Amino acid sequence: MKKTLGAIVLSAMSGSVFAELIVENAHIRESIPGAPNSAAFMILKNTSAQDVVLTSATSELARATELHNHINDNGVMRMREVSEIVVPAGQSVQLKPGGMHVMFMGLATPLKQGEQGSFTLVDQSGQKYPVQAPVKKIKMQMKHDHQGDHKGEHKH
Amino acid sequence: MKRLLIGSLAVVVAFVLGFWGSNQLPEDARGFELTRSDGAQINSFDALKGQPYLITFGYTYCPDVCPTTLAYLAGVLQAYQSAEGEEIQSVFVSVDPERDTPDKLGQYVEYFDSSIWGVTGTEAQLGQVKQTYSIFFEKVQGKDPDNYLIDHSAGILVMDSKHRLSGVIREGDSLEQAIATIQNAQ
Repeated sequence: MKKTLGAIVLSAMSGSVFAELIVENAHIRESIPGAPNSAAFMILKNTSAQDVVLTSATSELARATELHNHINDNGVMRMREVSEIVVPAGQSVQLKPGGMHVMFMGLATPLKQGEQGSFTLVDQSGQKYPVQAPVKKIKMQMKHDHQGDHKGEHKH
Repeated sequence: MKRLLIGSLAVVVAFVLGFWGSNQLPEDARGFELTRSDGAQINSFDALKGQPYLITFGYTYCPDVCPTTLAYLAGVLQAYQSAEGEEIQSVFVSVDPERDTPDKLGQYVEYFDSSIWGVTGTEAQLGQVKQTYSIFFEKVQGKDPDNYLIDHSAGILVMDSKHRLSGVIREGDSLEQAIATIQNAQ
């Protein structure tokens, strides 16, 4: 029994893969000087036959961690906390800039590229999905990107 | 009743026209007077010397859209300079003077491109900006009083040398499209 429990914990820890929810390409945005907030983005893949309904997120990185979405209302961006993010059975949901994200409000310390940050997603049933993600500098979208990251993080 | 209806219609039309509202103002009413992050009082007519400029609105507590817009703007500025061999001034207006001190604002814009002016002002000055550029911003109270959010107009406005709106650059635009929009404003 004890052995089984150990195996479950181990599988939950390896690469943010859970029985039903796979977290891919997770990254946290490097904090910008002068700004106390940041956000995390990722792809959530639900491999199970049941919807996963995320209802909250927690982290030691900041004073408050929330699930947020953006609504583009006629050119006005309205960012709102959402009560849930639904990842339908067998489908993926992308948390990306300008859309849904995990928001960190009131960072304890500035986040620097190269660091790792961790946070936990929590679903309706209380199940926790710990995620570890690299901190990445925002891409400046240069035509010839010489100023971007030099650490081999480009994926072409 | 009919008059009321026409009145309401006019309001709706004005709203839909949105950004273009600024062109209806007399020339001397356009532009802005705001404080730059280095403490300088900027009168846009004097400071921009009859040159076209780009202007966008946001606040430093904004974790997602503003950094994304400014990172995109930095790319546009660089692409424009390599294509045209000259710079175009860009202005980031903080609509959150309560929390965005000049110092913080300066550090914030510098991260993206040191040529961007970070400016903000009093509530009255920002109210004027709201009208001049026909933009929208509004505070939204969250659970934590210190961590309120602000809804605000997105996009980058391209203003011509007479401070008239010439076009709008949106983040989905390619750099080539963005450059063309700026060239149009000459």
